[in-house]
This record gives sequence, C-alpha cells and structure tokens, in this order.
Amino acid sequence: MLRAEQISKSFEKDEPLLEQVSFAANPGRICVIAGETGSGKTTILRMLRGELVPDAGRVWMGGQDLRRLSAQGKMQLLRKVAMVHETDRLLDDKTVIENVALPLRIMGIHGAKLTERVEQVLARFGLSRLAYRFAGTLSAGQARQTAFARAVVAWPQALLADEPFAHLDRPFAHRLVRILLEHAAEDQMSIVIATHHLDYLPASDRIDHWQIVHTRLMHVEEAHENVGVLFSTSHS
Amino acid sequence: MKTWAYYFQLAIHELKRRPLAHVFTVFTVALAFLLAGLVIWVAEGVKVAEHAWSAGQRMTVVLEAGLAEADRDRLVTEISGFPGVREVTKVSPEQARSELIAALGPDSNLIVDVEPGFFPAVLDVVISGDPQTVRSSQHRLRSMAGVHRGVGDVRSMDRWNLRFGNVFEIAALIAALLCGVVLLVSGWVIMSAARSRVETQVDELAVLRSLGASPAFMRTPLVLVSLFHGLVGGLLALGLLAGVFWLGAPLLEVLLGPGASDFRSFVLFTARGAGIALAATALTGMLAARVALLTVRVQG
Repeated sequence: MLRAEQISKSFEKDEPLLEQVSFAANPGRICVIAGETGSGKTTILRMLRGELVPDAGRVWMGGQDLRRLSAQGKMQLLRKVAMVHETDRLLDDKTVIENVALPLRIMGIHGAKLTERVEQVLARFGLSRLAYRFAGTLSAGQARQTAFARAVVAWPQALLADEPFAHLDRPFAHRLVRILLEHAAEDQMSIVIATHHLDYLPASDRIDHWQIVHTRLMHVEEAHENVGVLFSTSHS
Repeated sequence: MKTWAYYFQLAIHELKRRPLAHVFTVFTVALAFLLAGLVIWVAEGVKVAEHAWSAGQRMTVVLEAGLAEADRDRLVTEISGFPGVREVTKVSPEQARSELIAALGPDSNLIVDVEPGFFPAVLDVVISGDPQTVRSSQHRLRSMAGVHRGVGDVRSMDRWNLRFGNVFEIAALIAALLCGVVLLVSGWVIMSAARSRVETQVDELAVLRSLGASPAFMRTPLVLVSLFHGLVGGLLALGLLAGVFWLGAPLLEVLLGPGASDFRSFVLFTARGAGIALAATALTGMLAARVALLTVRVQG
C-alpha cells in the first residue's frame, strides 16, 4: 500500500503548495486526485514516487519510508511504483511491443516469460494488432494505451497517472479505466490518477475521489461539507 | 547472457538508427587517431634518423709512412677496444689507389700515372652507438694524431655529424612532447563525440531511468557503441596511416635513408603494435562514453 502521512511541500518561501496531505492508495482500487491546474497534483505524484522529497511528513511504500531509501532502493521503488506521464514518454523509434517489453527487460526478464506477459498485456489493452507499429506513428489514444500497458506490464505494486485523459474522448477514457480496474484487481495494484477530467471516470465503487482545496487534500465528501466546493463527477 | 544479447541488440539498433551520425563519429575518431599515429610516426622517424646519423660514422686514421705491419696490427687492436668501435679495416696504399680509380670511373685516367706510394696507408674506423659514445671515441681518436706512435693524422666529418646528432635529440624531444599534446587533443575530440552522442539520447535515458533501469542497463549499450567507434576508428586510422606511409615512402627514403620506408619498421604496423593500438582506441572509446555519461545530466 502507498501511503502519504502529513506531507507538505512548498517551492517558494511562505507560499506552501501542499500542507499536511495524508491519504492512502489501497491495492485493487483507484484513487483519483482532482484539483485545479497548479494545485499540486503532479507534486503529490512525484513525492509518492520519491522523485521529490516532502518538506515535512513521510511517504510509505509497504512498510518502507521513502526518505530512508538507498540509491539501489530508489531504483527498485521506480520499478514498484510505475508512472504514466501526461506526455506518454514512449520511445518513438521502437515498436509498441518493444516499448511495452522494456520494464521486463530492465528487470532481467527475457525469453518466453517476457513474450507471454507482453502478449497478455497487449491483448488486454487491445494493442495486439499494433504490436509491430513504431510508437512514433501511433494516435494519441493508442500512445496512451501503450504507455499504460508499459506501466503495468512488470507487475508494479502501484501505478501513478498524471492527467491520463488529456486528448482522449470520454468513451475511450472509460474503457481505459475499466482495463486499469481489471489490472488493479488481478495484480493487487494501487492506482493513483491525478486529473481534472472527473467526468471521464466511469462509475465504480472501487474508485476513491480526493480533491485539493487550498493546499489541503480532502476526501470528496469532506470537501463538499467543509468548503462547499462544487464539482461534478459522472457517478455522483 | 540474454541481457548481454539484448545490450548488443540495442547497440546495433542504435547504429542502424543514425548511420550517418555514427559514420561521422567514426571518421572523427579515426582522424584523431590518425593524427596521433602520424606524430608517433614522426617521433619514430626522428629516432631512426638520429640513430642512422649518429651511428656507423667513419673516421680515417692516416698512418705514418714506413710503419711496420706489427705496429699496424697493434694499433688496430688498440682502436678496436674503444667504446662503440664496430670495425677497423686496414687499407693499404695499393687498395686506396684502386678504390679511388674505381670511384673516379671515366675520370680515373687523371691519377693513372700517380705512383702507388703516393697514397698513405690508413685505418678505416667505423663507430656506432649513442651520440655520446661516438663523440667520446672520436675525441680519443683525434687526440692520437701526431702524438701516438704511427698515427700521422685523423680525419672525420665529426663536426657536422655531431651537430646533427644534437638536432635530432632536440627534434626527438619535441616530437615526444607533440605526441603527448596530440594524444590529449585526440582524447578530447573522442570525448566530445561521445558526449554529443549521449546528449542526443538524453530523453531516452530519462525514460529508462524513470522505468527504474539500473546505471549498467543505461550505460552498457552506449559503451558498446563507443567501443565500436573506437575499434573501427582505430582500424580506419591504421589504414589511412598505411596509405600515407605508402605514398610518402620515396620521401622517407630520401629523408631518413634506405630502409626507412620498410613497412615492418613502423611500430604500429607490427601485429603487436597494431593490437595494442586497437586495444587502446577501443578502451578510449569506452572511457569516453563512461565520462560522457557522468557529465551529461539525465533527468528522471
């Protein structure tokens, strides 16, 4: 389980971006963090991945405090906590299958085991027919699917996604989230999605909604009650 | 093993991806090595020339008229014991005359009436070794003239020979310094080529790092490509050097003397020399890639 405990972060003096943020991403579930542009969604994700160190508080992965990780430990963390960036970050001159296989190769998995796993993931994301297309020739939706396939292929314990619905239409996003829910259940993976496209999420009791309100992260009901922030989601 | 196969696959993929850029890098590396090779060649040429000019110098010891054969033999034994003296040959007046006639060729009739007794008996002395040894023996021989029993005069071309000896020593030193400078410059050129190549792959390296790749996973394919650059660049440089050597052979013969254009005389064209040179070029390529990776900042 990925857990943030009272974490705070500021990039400029006396201007806190996030204060005392606490939440947990549970295995098999999707945790959605909503907020305006610049509210600190990406910063939370980067702290959860150990790319940024919180000014205060702690982030835990399983029973491990991320601040105490060695260089080797940080490398292992990046394998355990996969990330899909807003820009996909695929290797354009490599095929879809090569891109998706990359995390497995990094882990030293080759041969039949690699082929079997990659084919399984490609099939689940509907990418089998595109397996030998170069990533640079894919549409935005196909590229996003490939980025997710690459992120989940090596059985990460958590998956973080930063604005994954940008440039996608709603039905496509719904289908993508359903595939992710399947993976989350199957591999007992925690998923954290930072987005402001809340209406792109399908209805599911396995999705938790959080909202950043004035440097604080609140559960959506709490946000409604305490601050009266109005926002709509497709399931609410 | 499979991981290494994958590294090689990645390296080959990289070479295929930007063939022109790699050809350019190989040529840059080859030119840098060629420059280093040329300086080594010049340094070696200067060494050969220095040896040729300072070694095997001939001096003529003119013997007094009427010197007994036993005294001549004693002189030969004495001079043969001088450091660096390789050969002492007795030349009788008759021999001197006939050699002069042979040397004059069609003009030999000029001396045909000269009596054999006109020519002095001499000892032809050949001295070899380092300039200091040659100088010391020349000095000893010269000091015998008119002093030592039976020695009338000692003649040699020592003055300009010695002067050239010094010039060659200085030239050899300059060549060695130049060689060091060129090797440094070549190293910098190779390093820059590796660095610019790493810079073109910064985004890709960032993706790999973000996926949790180990430093070895990111580094090895790059190092393999650099190894290829070093190896092929080194081979190309040796080929170009052989071409320059072949084209410059006639000039070498004139400048450095007979045998100077012999391929086998140049250290980089021996099997061992070429092997060491190629190992050095390959190692330089690998080191350049490692240093480039250390100096180029890759974001996670």
